Amino acid sequence: MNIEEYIASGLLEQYALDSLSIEQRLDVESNIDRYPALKEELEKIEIAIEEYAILNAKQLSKQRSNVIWDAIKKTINTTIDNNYQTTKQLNWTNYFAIAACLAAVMLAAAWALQYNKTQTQLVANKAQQDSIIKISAAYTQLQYELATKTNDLQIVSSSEYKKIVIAPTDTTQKSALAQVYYNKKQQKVFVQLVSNEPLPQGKQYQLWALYQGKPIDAGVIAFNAQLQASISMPNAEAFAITIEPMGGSKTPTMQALVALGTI
Amino acid sequence: MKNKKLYTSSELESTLTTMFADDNTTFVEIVYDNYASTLYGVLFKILKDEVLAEDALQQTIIKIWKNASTFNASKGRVFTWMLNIARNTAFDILKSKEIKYKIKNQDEELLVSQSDNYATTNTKIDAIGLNDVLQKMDASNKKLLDLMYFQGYTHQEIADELSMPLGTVKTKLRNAILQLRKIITFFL
Repeated sequence: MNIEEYIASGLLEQYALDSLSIEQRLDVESNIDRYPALKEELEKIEIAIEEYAILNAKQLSKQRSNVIWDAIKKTINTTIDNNYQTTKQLNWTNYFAIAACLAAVMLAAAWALQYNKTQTQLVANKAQQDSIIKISAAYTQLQYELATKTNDLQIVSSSEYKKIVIAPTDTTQKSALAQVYYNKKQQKVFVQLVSNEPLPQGKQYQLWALYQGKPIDAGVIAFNAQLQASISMPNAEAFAITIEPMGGSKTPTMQALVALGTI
Repeated sequence: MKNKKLYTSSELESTLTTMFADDNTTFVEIVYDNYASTLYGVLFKILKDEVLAEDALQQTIIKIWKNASTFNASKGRVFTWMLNIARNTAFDILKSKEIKYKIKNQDEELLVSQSDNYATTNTKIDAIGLNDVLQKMDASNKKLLDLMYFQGYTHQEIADELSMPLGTVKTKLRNAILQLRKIITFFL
């Protein structure tokens, strides 16, 4: 760069008068940084212009000067106070924001953790719950069965109940068809199938009590091994089982008499 | 305002440059004590109204205080920087149409009535005298400098106003300031 030409261009004067564009200003600034001769020339220009400004100085009266100075101080103090307040508020806001963020992060982390836990736990819980339900059902079933068995045991072992073996009328069959437990005093009748020989489709066993040669309906018998309560009987001399259509018959089909047991 | 420290021009430059970098307000008083009359003079020259100039002075000092930390000594002198803040503050005020209108009407009257008050207490001015300096300058140079410095004319506006080619404005400006420098050196 030709320093003399640069100086002669008048750019430094314009710079000192603040009449350059931003780009031109930046260019001049970079040049005065690089070339001390330019900085030196600029300083001379600036001092000259400053002196020119001083030539135009105008003294304020003491009173006006004090008024303006007081106004300046007031503005500065107010600005500082406001900035302080703003800073304070900002600080509080920042603290609050940070606290809120931390809380949010912690909550999110806790939630995520809890979510995972919960998800795992939910699966586990579900399985556990299912198990409990199953166990509970099994327990209830067992309880029921135990109670039933206990009850059955009480019946079958009770001296108040008389056990009547209902033997097949077909003497070729050796095993009994059923057993009846009869408490004459309480008129209670219980029947229990022994045979598991299947019945024809649509057929069902029916229990009859015989009193004075006449059959009295004691109810149909479910095809299982349970001790089943039958219709109460005040007087019974014998019990018979016939094969009847499903739901039973009002009168026994005598040709379907399959078993009989006398008390 | 008692027992003020008196600074020389170069002391002020270095003191303020140092103080500007610090985050405090103590330099504001130094600025006000040492530069208020020059800043006010420039502001009044531009605005041609005492009330406006006083208000502009207050604004200027506040701007100097607020922008002090942005001042970079490698890019120029403190005083020039402050003077340009004052000039730009005044030019901004001038941009208001209402105020422009007001000034237009008062222009001639004010220039006459206030001219006697110019810089009567500045020591350098006392020694030199404004008119002495100004009389030494070529009228065209003085006009050019005034248009740029006190009226914020752009180069194009100066070219139009003084009926000269745009390219000549820069050279003329340099010559005007060179003449000013010579005169000032002579008087100082």
